[in-house]
Amino acid sequence: MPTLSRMKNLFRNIFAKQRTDRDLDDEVRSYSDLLAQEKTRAGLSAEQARRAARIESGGIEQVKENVREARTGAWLDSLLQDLRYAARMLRKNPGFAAIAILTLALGIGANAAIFSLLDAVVLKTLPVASPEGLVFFSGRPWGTSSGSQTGHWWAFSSQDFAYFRDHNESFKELCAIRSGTDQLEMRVAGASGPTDSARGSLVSGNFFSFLGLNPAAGRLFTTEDDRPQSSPAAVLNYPYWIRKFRNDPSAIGQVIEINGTAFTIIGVAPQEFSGVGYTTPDIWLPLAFQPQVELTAPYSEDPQEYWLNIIARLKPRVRLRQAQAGVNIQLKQVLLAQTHRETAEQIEKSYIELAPGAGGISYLRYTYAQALQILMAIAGIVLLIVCANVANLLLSRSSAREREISIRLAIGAGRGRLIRQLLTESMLLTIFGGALGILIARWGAQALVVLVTGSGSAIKASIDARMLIFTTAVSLLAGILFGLVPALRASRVDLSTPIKGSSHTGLRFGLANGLVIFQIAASLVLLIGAGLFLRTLQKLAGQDPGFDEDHVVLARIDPQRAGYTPEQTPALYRALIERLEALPGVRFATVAYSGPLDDDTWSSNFSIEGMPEKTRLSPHVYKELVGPNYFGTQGIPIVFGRDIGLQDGPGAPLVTVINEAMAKKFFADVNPIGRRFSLGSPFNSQEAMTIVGVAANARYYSLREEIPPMEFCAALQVPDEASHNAGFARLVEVRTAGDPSVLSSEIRGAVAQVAGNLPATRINTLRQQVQAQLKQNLDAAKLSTAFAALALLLACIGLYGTMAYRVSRRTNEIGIRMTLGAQRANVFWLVTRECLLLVAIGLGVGVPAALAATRVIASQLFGVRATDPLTFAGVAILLLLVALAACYIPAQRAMRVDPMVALRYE
Amino acid sequence: MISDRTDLLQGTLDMMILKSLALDQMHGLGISRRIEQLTKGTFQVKPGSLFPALHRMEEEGWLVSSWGESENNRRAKYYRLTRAGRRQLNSETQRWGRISLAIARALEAS
Repeated sequence: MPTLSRMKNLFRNIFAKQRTDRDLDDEVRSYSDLLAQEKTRAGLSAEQARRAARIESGGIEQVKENVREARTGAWLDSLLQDLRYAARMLRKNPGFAAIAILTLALGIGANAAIFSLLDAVVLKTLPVASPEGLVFFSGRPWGTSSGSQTGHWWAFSSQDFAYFRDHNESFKELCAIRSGTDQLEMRVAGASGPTDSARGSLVSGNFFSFLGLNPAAGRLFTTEDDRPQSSPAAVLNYPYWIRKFRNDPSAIGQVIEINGTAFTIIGVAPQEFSGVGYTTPDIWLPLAFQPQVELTAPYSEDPQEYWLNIIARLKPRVRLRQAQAGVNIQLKQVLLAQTHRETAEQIEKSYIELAPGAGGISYLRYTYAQALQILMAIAGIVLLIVCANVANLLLSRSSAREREISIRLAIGAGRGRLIRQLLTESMLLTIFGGALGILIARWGAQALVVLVTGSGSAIKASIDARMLIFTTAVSLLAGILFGLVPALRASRVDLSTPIKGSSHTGLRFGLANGLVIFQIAASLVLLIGAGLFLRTLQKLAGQDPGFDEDHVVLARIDPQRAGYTPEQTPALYRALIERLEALPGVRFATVAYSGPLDDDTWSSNFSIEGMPEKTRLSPHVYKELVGPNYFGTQGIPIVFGRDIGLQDGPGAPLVTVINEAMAKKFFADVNPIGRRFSLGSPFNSQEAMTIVGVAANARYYSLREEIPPMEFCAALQVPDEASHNAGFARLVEVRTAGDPSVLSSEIRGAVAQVAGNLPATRINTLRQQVQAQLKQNLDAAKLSTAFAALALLLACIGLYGTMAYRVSRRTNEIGIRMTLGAQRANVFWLVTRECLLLVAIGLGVGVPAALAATRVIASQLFGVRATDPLTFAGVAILLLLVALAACYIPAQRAMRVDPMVALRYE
Repeated sequence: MISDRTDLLQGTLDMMILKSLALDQMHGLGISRRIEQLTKGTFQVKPGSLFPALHRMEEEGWLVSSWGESENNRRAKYYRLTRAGRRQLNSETQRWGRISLAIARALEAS
């Protein structure tokens, strides 16, 4: 049959159904009439003829049904019928429908939200040409040290890069990027006023062609641009172009001053590309201009300056493992060729870990990938609970409908048709739930991003086609799964029993019980996880960090970039401290290298005077450069000796204060005061510092990690650049009498008064610094609590549903019990006991499961063991109480059963 | 009498209906009686199978229907062959000839 006429038939059968049906009705009736007429002619009376005709033609309705079945689109017709019926059933039980749809929507929504976040952070690939061939020289290109200290190489010198580039067999091409981001002070040439801060990334000239990118405007770098003698060129990131130049094409060719050097804007990177690194730069600059940008001697000439990250593109058909083996052989060759560097032992343990780079390198990915996967697992458990819940609801309802179903079976409904009908109902629920779930996901994904990364994050968790497919698949699968079980069960009903009326009790609902037990156990696992995260947060926030974080403001400065020489700094620091201490409300002011809880740390080996060279202890210390009264400003007590003071200036004997950890580790048996040590090895009497004080331990770069041995040398005693102590203070610290947050503009002004070319940036309080550190733990606690609460809520709905249903089924039995003299309290206990039994079994299953599951998050905890008995007990009690609350209403209802009504029920 | 509900005869029923309409248009009861007459009473087609077949064949485009007056002034729905229906009748007839010949031969062979 041609498609067109098939469509016509379909259209008529579905949409002109009433008319076709009336027509059919007329036709069959006329047949019957004609037949009757025939019989009359054969001699029967009119009445007899009609009867005979009716018998001969069979039931009119039957005939019509047969015709309908034969029509095109009969299945669609019955589907619509099923849908109408299902919608009517749901409308008749709005409470059931609402609970089921809401439950599903929460579960599906939570999953879709997590999935889109996981997708944005972990699964998305870089928008570059064939990203699957990219590899990074180390998947974790940051940390405190690269190379010989740990053996793990993630940063390289220009000489290393050249060696890899010229001796490689596995790679089509290599390119280099400056590790980390450069802080740029940018100003359009000729413009007056203050400079703007921007983030810059130095890249080798082949960077853009290596990635196969085309410019959004102008042109991108070539290797020509990456030569010191070339004219300085810059490529803008698309969003920066929009923001700063209002995507004006005439920006191309414009000259901008970056840290004092004039660069010409040559082009704009493609819109979708935002770098391969873990931060998004605003401006890309060629590596050759590193001295101009970073205001240092050229790193490219120093084989000991490890400043480059390397990305490579694998040749076709070369495996990552092969490339890895090759690269590690080359690394050893490089290290051997450059004899000045490592010992044979250090070379032996040196390695590079290649990492697939299709997704780019992401700090966020590294930090959150595992957490997100755990979260995904949690969301999966929640979805399971959801499915169990809806299955339970449908199951109990289909049991309640046993009578209806067996009547329908008895009057001839096909079993297949009945299953189809029940499936349609559950599918309808899931579709509603899925639709609502998408809405929840849209809102939830964004909320999650904000929760995890703060607002204004580069991550966009958006709802895309894949997520829609994911959601639809989950909801349909759920619909089929939990629609099928009750449907199969229901249609297997013994025809006669339910019609006669049911009064059976007992534990017929093995499946329902199992589902409730599963829900309780799963929520227990999630609650314990959440409890452990909360305890971690509590321990972290509640610990004494060793310093007094109240009333301290921090501001960042960069004298090196502003052009100060080391010799000029003591006067600068002094002036700054004097000016700041003159501000009203300021008690002390000081300077430091990085200060507490900063990502930037500085560590070194050292040699103690008079100590044998070869020692079992690896003399390694974190160092800090501090101004006068540093410990007073931070509120760290001095245990022995004295604080660094103003007198420890240029010309005075070099002094240092060490912390208790260092005193304990290296001066366990002796009084450290008066002892001398020098940084580096061997002991250097010229640079040696005398210990003048021991400060109490205080948290340094992390609130979690053990406090390392530390030494604090005096910033005012500036040694010459060649010394191990060389460094610039980059932090101004102020202790205030009152609210520290109101002082930022005064501090900014004071710094500007002292040195006009030295901007004070990133001003925050020490308390904010602490909170930033707690943030990830806070996130973990918030997220896991949210999910656990969701799981608990769902489990309660499940428990309530089961108990309520059971009570309604047992109304009859309860009535009899009461007639026979059962007290209301007995009835209450009867219901509560069942509920308690379910909860007890759920806990019994859940506790071992939780013991196994919490091992996964053990590394994320602080100050609390994964098997923390307090958390386990607390959560179990909480669950028990909430479960009791859930079955209180059904138990109440059971208690209020009127025996007379209950008995008349049959 | 052969039951008209035999599955094997599904195609046969279509063929019989087409055949009965080969000469003139007819209403449902007429078709039923005509088939009885053609097969000398071997086939008795009941409305339960007749009407689904008629509607199906109409959807296939082999028949068209219209309301008309019966021989004694009763309203009745008349069916008439279309060109496609006539073609279908021809091909069904040929096919049936082949099948019945083949079956007859098979049964004759020992």
